Amino acid sequence: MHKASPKIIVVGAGAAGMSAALAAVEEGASVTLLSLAEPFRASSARLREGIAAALDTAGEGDTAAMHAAETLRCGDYLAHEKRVKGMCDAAPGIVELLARMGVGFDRTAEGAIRLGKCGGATKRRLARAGRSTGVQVLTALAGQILHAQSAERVHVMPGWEFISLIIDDSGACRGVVAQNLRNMEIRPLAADAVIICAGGYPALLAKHAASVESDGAAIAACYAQGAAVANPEFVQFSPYAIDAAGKLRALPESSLAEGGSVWVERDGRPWHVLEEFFHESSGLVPRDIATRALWKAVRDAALTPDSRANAFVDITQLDPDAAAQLVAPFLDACDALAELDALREPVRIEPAVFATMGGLWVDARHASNIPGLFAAGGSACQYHGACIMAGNELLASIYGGMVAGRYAACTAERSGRAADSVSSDLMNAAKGREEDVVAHIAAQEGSENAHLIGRELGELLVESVWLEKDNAVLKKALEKIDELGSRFSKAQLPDRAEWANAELPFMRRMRRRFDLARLIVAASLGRDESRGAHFKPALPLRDDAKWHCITRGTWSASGPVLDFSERVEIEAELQKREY
Amino acid sequence: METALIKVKRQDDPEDLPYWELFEVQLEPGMSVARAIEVVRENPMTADGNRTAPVAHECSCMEGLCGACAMLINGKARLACSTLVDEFDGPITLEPLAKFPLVRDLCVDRSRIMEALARSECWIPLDGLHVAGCIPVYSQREQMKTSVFSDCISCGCCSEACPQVNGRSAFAGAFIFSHIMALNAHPLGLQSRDPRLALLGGRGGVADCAGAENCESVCPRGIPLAAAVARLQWEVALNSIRRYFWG
Repeated sequence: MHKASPKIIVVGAGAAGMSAALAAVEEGASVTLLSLAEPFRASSARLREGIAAALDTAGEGDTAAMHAAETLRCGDYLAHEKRVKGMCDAAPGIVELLARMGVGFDRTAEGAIRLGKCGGATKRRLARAGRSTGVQVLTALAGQILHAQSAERVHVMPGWEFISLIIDDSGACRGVVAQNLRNMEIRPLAADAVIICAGGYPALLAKHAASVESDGAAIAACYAQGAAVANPEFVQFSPYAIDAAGKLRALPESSLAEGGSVWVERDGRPWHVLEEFFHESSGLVPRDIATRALWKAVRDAALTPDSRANAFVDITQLDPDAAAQLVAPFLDACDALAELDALREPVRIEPAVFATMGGLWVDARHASNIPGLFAAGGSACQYHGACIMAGNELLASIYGGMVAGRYAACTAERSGRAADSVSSDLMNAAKGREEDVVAHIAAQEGSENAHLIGRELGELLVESVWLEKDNAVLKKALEKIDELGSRFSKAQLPDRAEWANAELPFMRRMRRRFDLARLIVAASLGRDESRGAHFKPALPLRDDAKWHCITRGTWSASGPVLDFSERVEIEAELQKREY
Repeated sequence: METALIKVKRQDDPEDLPYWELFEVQLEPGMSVARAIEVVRENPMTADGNRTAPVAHECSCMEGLCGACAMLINGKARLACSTLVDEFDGPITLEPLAKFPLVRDLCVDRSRIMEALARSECWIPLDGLHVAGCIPVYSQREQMKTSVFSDCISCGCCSEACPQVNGRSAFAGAFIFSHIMALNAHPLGLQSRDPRLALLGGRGGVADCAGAENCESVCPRGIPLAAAVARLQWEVALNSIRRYFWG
């Protein structure tokens, strides 16, 4: 190996994790990439929509500044302006890099990158690769990871689950404890720095359109060890999901910008709700506003008080030949419903949780409050503010991952926390602690079913932090979470096998869900205003004088401690978020 | 309430013997096989009322994009998340993919997919992650033709269906052709095409394909793998002629 090349552990091999690993390698680090499965199985595969960048190949005069301004406004000004600008400035370079890696972006007649329209943007800004940009991006990044692995700069460890951090006496992160999901070995791994890129926590809520593994377990583990979590109350929902084969599936919004329409069935006829409410800006409405408007209409148009009308996305007016390319990701998402031909009949939609804006608190360089611990992608709270703009998810993951990877590798040498100086006592203590947790789970007795409690918790969160929040309901939810938590302690481990036991990791993740759920609800209760996806009908307005701040939650034995002192740094004028 | 019968081939670990268990699952509207397995996992009780261990299986995105849940459903390699329970009349038989080493129940070890991609150098060598300042021009026609080959989710269904993938051959499956087609057509990938073709001409490469074309019929992404094989066999041959004359 090279002289003292810093050792970085990256947790999660999605778009953010692989970008972080590649950036760290370029700065001379040697990287261990921990992942539940092989790199191409990550949740980023679901991001069919594309990646936003002000490439302006359509000659509309688009600029990175406009991209940043629209991102900030969509997010209701809850992200630091400089960081958002940094991301939007880098976006065209990132698309270029992906194209060089082999992502087959759609092209114009000249062979330049063809940009699609996307919700929330006034210009064409969405670079798309066929029907599944996410799959192609993961494949290209995985190729680079395999290349780096062949040069022995990256060591991929698929089938290992991150369990907890190794924290030394000074409070710095010195590595991780991980478990092999086959032989169940628990192993402490020392590092100069750790980067968490394990996704967000949408799957904590029952009605989600995310990967089943996106339950925020890694965020919760760091939180329990002292890492601050920012803006946990901001949960992204969207009206555009279909119920396909018993799973909610996100529909790409670009189909609407490309000429599709949304309507609610009223008296047997289509009611174009968004056009009626928002006129010409109907295609620009952020997901949270569109969801609330549509779901109010669904209730209003219902025939009886306790029923609801159906909402549809309709692309039947598109020319079928042109549509095959224009809305390819949309058709791909509908594909599972064999009986449904989206080009011929409207698609019934449901609201669902798409993603989460909150995550580990990080500074401009993606460092958390724990020295040596970084985070990016869905695991970090950084660019999206109070609502995500379509196309920014992939962008933020890749850009954030690269910033984190580069910075973690560059500062490792100066930090004086080299991986090989971690004492074996510290490593063994961390391992012992996790073995105790396993023993504790195995010793749990009672007749409760952890899976059912998990589902109840998900439904409870849907009832309390869904489209509309109410302080009385939230207070009750806190009590309910404690109740579910104590019921969970009476749930037995349903599988005693010592090989490939999936129930043990599940139970361990379940234990942590209560902490994170409490934090989401407490922060929802704490923020007494409405902003983006966080909406309280009793306080329907944004209150910049009092609440233009980042929520920062830290763990304590008696429940989450909230701090609202970090003001959001924005120089631009805060516009009203009216569309 | 309507129910479905699901017969699962189980095996506790790679050394153990397999056994079958029958489960009765209450039907939900539009229920996928993956969801049915989840229901069994939540309450692992066989059809004749015996408690058993939850069925080990893999799943992640549940949208047919991550490839984790590939398994044999009534003998055919498919994604459990995108197969509906009510497609079948009788009991549904679930088995792990047989061409990959078994881990437990329906879980298999698919690391050889990654190994095969690494062996065939399925990447474009880059100068670095910096902004180079120009995006390679890619003809619209070529991109549209090739786009479908970029859609591989590395699920392993093609390997399962292929008679040439077996313990005696180095061939890993047709997925590799899809990846290479996409890379070779790409303007930058073109530069590293020849070494890739040379590798593909060797052991475990195109010559190992006997043209059964089962891969194409099971591919959940509908990738025209037979066309990829034909094209690459031609290119491998051309490449060896080129190498003979030009070095």
